[in-house]
Amino acid sequence: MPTLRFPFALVTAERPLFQGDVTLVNVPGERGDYGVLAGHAPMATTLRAGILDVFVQDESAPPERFFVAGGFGHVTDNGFTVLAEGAVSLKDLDRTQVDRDLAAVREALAAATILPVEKATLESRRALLEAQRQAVG
Amino acid sequence: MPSLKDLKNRISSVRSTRKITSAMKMVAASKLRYAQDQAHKSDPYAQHLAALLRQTEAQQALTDLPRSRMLRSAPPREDGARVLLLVVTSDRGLCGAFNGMMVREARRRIAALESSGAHVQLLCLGRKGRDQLRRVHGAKMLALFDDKIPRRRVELSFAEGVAAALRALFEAGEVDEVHAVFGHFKSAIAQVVTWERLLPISVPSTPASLPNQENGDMTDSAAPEILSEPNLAIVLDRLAARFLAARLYGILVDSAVSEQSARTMAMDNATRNAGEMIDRLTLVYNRSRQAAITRELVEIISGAEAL
Repeated sequence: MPTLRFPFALVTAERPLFQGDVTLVNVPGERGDYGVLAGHAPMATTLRAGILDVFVQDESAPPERFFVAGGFGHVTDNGFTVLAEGAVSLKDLDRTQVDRDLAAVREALAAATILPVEKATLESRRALLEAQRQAVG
Repeated sequence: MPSLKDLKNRISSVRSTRKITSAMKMVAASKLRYAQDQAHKSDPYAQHLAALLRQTEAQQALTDLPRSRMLRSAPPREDGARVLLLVVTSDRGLCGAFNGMMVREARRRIAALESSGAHVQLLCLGRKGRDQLRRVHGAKMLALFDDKIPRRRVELSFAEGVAAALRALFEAGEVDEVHAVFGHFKSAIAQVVTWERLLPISVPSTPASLPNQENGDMTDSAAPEILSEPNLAIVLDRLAARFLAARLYGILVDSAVSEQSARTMAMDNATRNAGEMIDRLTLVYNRSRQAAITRELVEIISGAEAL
């Protein structure tokens, strides 16, 4: 039996990361991981930081892996869209680079005077890097 | 009548001005392309987020759950609403009337709001707006970030930071409404001063109300029944917070596109004007040189005749 495929898009506020027909997407939902196959009922979920696996052909082939820091999964009759925050292709994540960035952000946060917007920016960056750090292990 | 030497100096100085303005035009044009690319790439996310927010909001309207805080208007106050006005301008000048337009609109809005009894606070994103508004409205300005460091390009993390700060002010009840004045890129020759209410969030009613509408396969078939996880209220809360950040990012990018297109146009005009001036000056220069030669010849001839 041929595997059913459905349109999937992974987009971030800055750029689209993936678009195309896929057979299965495994998503780190806030209440636990879930998989989306063709014909899934319409659904809106929030995501937690984790790894998103996209199976383009079938489940035997290795998936395309992405890190997401959070966001939303939206299943509609027309397909599945993930509106991700801080998403990158997993192969672009470099552990030493993440460690280095994290140290820099922590140092910046420890500064004596810090205004609200910068504080919020740095804190979200720290959260993102910490989640990335966990993902790369 | 300026001397030949003066004219020559003048021409060479206009020439170097033209070189500068034409270089600035090239730089602005390349920054414009970058900003347009940024705007183009952020579009799918913004559109889908708006569609999802609309869908979940429509669904919540069917239930008796209270509306999400960010979507709800604050109760009216006795002593006038507290309004925060965001003025989005550029950090650098030489972009024609762009910043002036934003500042003028901001002044008009401030006056209108104040005459209706509201307390206005200002947040300037962009140094030009801050500098121009500081003299009269300096006391209203909030210091939420360090605006001494110019931002080279629009960064999502900055928009997120501003959104978080705005949300904190809004949820603490320190501001009742947040409005923004920014330049919307309509076409290469038209930047439109735009006003928009950011908080409480007004859910975009139809996809047509979005600034850019390209892909027609928008998920607006309004499937009435949609599962939500963890639950509708949480999803909607997160969506609202995210929508604010994404909208701010969209506004900043839109403003950057308008700024660079205004600058490209201003520098193009300056370059053309310099060219015309060089032509005019060259004509005067040639004429006076010719006049000097004629005068010398006349002197020689009349000197020879006198002998």
